[in-house]
Order: sequence, then C-alpha cells, then structure tokens
Amino acid sequence: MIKNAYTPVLLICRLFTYLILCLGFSFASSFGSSYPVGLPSYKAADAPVLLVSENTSYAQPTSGLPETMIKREDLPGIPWMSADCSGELGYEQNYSLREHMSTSSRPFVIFNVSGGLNYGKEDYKLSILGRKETVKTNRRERKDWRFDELWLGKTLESSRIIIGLQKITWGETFGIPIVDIVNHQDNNEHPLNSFEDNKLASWMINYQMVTHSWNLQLIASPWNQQKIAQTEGDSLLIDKSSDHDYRNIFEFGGRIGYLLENGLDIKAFYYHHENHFPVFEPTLNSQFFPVLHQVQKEEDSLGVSQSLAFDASVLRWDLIYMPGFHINSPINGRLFKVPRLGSALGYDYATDFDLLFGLQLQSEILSSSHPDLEEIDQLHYFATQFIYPMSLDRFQIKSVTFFGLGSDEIWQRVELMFYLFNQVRADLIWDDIQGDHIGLLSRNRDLDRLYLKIAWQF
Amino acid sequence: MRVQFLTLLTSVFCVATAAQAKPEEKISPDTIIQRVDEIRSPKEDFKMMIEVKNNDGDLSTFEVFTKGKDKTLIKTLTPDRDKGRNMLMLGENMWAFIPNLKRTVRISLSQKLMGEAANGDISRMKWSGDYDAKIEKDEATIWQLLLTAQKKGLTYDKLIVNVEKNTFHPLSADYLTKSGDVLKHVTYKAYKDIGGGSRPTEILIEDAMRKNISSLITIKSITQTTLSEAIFNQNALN
Repeated sequence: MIKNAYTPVLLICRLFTYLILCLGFSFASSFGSSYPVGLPSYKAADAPVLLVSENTSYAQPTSGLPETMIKREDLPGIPWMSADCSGELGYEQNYSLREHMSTSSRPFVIFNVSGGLNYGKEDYKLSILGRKETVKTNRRERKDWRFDELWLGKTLESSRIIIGLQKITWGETFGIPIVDIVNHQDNNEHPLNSFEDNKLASWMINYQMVTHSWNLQLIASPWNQQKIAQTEGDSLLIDKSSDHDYRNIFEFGGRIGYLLENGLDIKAFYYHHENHFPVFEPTLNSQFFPVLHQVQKEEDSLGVSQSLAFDASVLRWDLIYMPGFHINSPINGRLFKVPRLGSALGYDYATDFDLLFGLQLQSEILSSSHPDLEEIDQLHYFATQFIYPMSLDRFQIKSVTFFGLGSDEIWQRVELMFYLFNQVRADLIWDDIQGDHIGLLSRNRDLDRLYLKIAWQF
Repeated sequence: MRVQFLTLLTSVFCVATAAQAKPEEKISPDTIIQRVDEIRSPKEDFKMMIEVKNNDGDLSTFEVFTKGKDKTLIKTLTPDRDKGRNMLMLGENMWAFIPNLKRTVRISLSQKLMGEAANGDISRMKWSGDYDAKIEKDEATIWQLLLTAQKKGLTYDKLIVNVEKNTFHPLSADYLTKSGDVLKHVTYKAYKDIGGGSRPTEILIEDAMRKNISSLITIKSITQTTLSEAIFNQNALN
C-alpha cells in the first residue's frame, strides 16, 4: 500500500498550486498569438509577405492595417517576436491488478511556449515544453521539473537547424518501436507507459535538409541526460551506486530518405549510441556482496524504414541491424555482445467509417549459437491494432494485442479516450500481460494495470 | 450628321455580323480545367486560413500552406483537442503528426479530415495534371466536364464539374466512385476577391446518400507568399 497517501488538505493545496500555475499560463496565453513587441505603426504594402514562415506568425500592425499588408522590408532590423502559450493540468493513477493496489500517482502540469523571433532578415523559432510533476510510487516520492523541448531553430530556404533539448522519432511501425533509437527511455518510468512519454529528451544539433524527393537529417548529441536510472524495481542485486560511474557518450548519426514516384518512401539510417537496454556485469560491492553493476556500452545501429500508401491501406516496414548488441543471458546473467537483427512489417487499413485496423509481424534475431542465449536467439511476435474514433474524435476506443509466436507471451491493451468537454480529456487503459521469463515482455510480466489519466488542456 | 450616324450604325452592324459569323473558337477541356484551377487557388505559393463546419455545428480551423502544385502543409488550429494534428502532402503521399502518439504516421489521401471533408479536399486544390478532362455537355452558359483520375492514390476517381463559361468559375461538382456512383455533391459559392482573384470562399460538401450530412469549408483568407521548402518535411511536422 502507499504509506504516505495524500491527505485531502495536502492534495487540495497541491492542486491549488497547480491551478495557480495553470492560470498563469492561461493568462500569458491570452497575450500570445503573434503580437509584436515594441513595434511602431507600419505602412501598407502592395503584397503580403510571410515574415516567419516556420510558425506562420505575422507581424500585427498597431495602425489597424490588415496583417497581410506588412512587408518584411517594413521591419528592417527591428526585433520582432511572437509567442503561443498552452498547457495541460492533469492527474495520472496506476492501479496494479495483480497486487490490488495503487502503485503510482502523478499530478502534473505541462507548459508549452513556442515563439518566433525575427531580427532583420533572420527567422528563428523557439520551443519550450516542460512539466512539473510529483511522482509517488509505493517505494518513493519524486518531485521533478522535466523538459521535453528546449530548443532554438532556424529555417533557411531548403534546410533547418534545431539546437537544444529535443526528442526525435524514427520508424513507421507501432507496438514496440524498434528503430526509434535516437532518444533513450527513462527506465524508472512504468514500462507500459507510452513509448513517447517515457522518452528522455537529449541535447542535440539536428540538421534537416529537403531537396526534391530527397530528405536528409544529421544529428549530433554531445551531451546526454544520464540514462543509468534503474534505481528501483527489478532486483535487489542491482548495485544502486552504479550511477556514480556515469560517463557521457557522444552520440551521432543521420537518416537519408527518398520518396519514389510510386509513393514508396525509403529511409536509411545509421546511429552511434549508448546501449538502450540496461545491461549488467556481476561485481562485488563495498561489503563484498555479489551484485549486478549496470554498465554503459557503445553500440552502432543501422537499418531502413519504408512505407507505401495505396487506396485506404498503408504498408510499413522497419529493419534494424546492430553488429554489436549487448545483452545479459536470461539463464545466468552473463553479458554477451552479439549481432542483432530486428524487423517489423505492418499493414494498416482505414475503412470508410473511420475504423483503422493494423496487423504487424515483429522478429528479433540474435546471431549467436551460444547455449546461454539459445532461448532468446529467435523471437517472433504478431500484433493487431484497432482504433475507432467516434463522435468526431471526442471518443476513441483502441485495442492492441501483441503475442509471441511459439511462446506464451501475450500483451493485451484496451484504451478508452474521451473528451468530456473540448478541453478536458480522460484516458482509461487496461493492460494485461501474460509474460514468460524470457522475451520482449519478460520485464513487464507482473505489471498488469489499470491506468487513468485526466487532463485539462488550456 | 445624318450620314455620319448612318455610317457608324452600318459599321457597328457589320462588325457585329462579322463577329457572329466567325466560327466560335473551341476551347479544350484541359484549358478549361487549368483556368478553373487558377480560380480555385493562386498559381504561386500561398497560405490560407480555412474553417470546416459540420452540419451538427462542430467547427475546426486549419492553416494551409501550399508550395507549387503538390506540396501542402495543413496545421490544425482548433479545436484544442486536435491542435497540433498537422498533415503534410507531397505529391499523392500524405503524412500526419498525431499529437497523442507524438509520431508522424503515413496516411492515405482519402482518409477523412473532418466530417465530409477528406484530406485531399483541402490539400489538393488543383485538378489539371491529376485528371483527364472531357466535355460532357456544352450548354449556353455552362460546360459540364467529366474528370477521370490519371493517377492512383487520388482522393476521388471521377468528378463531374459544372463550370460557368464566361468566368471559368466552378459552380458545382459531383465526386464519383470508379463505378460512377455519386459519393458527394459539392457546391462552390460566395465568390469574393481574395488572394489576387475572384475565388469561391465557401465549398459545401454534401453526402450524396445521406442528404442531411454536410460540411462547409470556408476560406477565411488567402495570402500569396514565398514559402521555404524546408517546412514541407516529415521531420518538421511536430
């Protein structure tokens, strides 16, 4: 049970604090939407000119002229900016179906400020997306400020560069994304949370270029958020002091895409990064007890993503190859470095009445004949997904089934989402996992849950 | 004076007779469709603000950026629940950024945008090059054209479009299936001077089967501008 459950007074005080923060952002947002700062009146121009093409903001004349009557030349060297503020105030609760108790609660406030900055002929975009939250689990309480975006971008004729804290998504398939490798996952979060919600933003230089049917993305991530974060859960044998040894690993890579005439979109990628799946080496702690020490390894990933749409159908395929993948044996915990091939082939179909269903085949192959890895050297899964939005997207039901071929692993999820009003959204998720001691779902096998989230978007 | 008047009258009569006698210059269906496209949206890059209202009162607003013939970016502005649901169209290919998933996913052009309006209804406002045109009826004031899709992946397989002869204004259209069944009936109305020309600012899309179901697309503004190629990029949809 949660020992330090919220007292009603404490809860009300905290909610009040969030409400104040929230109202502050609402107030700020009422001043948002593309108002220039300190600008004089402008003369009318013959033709409208987009001032900030990236975020579509326009200078707003103080003289009452229509916004499209201003030319860029009317603003030589004058600092100009626009801002949009929005946010979310919400509460999340996880209830363990196996242990019949609440395992975590999380009141949170999300704030999002994005703006354009024009200085002379230079156009920039700034985005800040952060959250203040209090996560209370049955083992600990954590109060956090967390930033998902904190970046500055500049758009040129056919390229743009974004520098700062950001998240990048790669891959076409759903379920367990296999090529979404740029950002790391927060291992302290509930593993069944959305893959995106558990992503840690990274400091990056992200350069994108588009030309005809080609697109290119180059990424350098010199400083990363500390990823050794498995401080609770899995095993008492995990050395909790391992995060003191953290070293920064310079991650880099890129992706090049080409859109063929027939609509086939092909992207090839390469990324050098720190290992994504936590791995351990046995060692002795200061009291000479044998413990598992979480270690950092460098890995290379390369692969392709493809998608093709025809009529109401979409075919998707992700493939990843890692020549040196690190993994602990499920038999004796020994650490191995082996080649890994992952693949996911998916098909989606949208019906006339908006029902979307998908099928997916996913495989994980380790190229090793070592007996310690025998049980996991070939894992195959099949997944189905149904999404049915109703009442103009105010209500949505989603169902995902992910099961092992030739194993007992099954993950079933039913998700209901509805808007009580235009701005109040509620999510109810039921996750049921029949896991094995090996396989992709092994880490989650005791985590059956009911999840509730309610949020007010402002 | 009388002689002068008679001479002028005779000249006018001769000119009028000559004009009548000259065989009417035939205009090709492709030219008609090109002229209609120029009416529906500007030739060069433009940005427009549109509103889509369903018959039940539900309202959404979008900001649409179009570069050239086949690059369109649609940003959803309202309602709040859909904010950030941005869509990109390159040729006949479309991607959508789903804020819930925080991912960009591939979608088809025929998927619904809202109510009766499909993604392709606002992202692809040019028919020439996409459809083969044929004049079905040539009436006193109206051409009726049959447009047949030249490419796969377009929102509609066939269209019957009624075009006003002296203005090239599209007046109405029927969107058909491959077999010729009418899916939607569309009316182009409220012509106004906007975005450098006289254009329809209201497009009413009615379900052909269920008469009480409709969506009204209202074009609030069209701004001709130069758009950066870089914003028409799958990586830039979020």
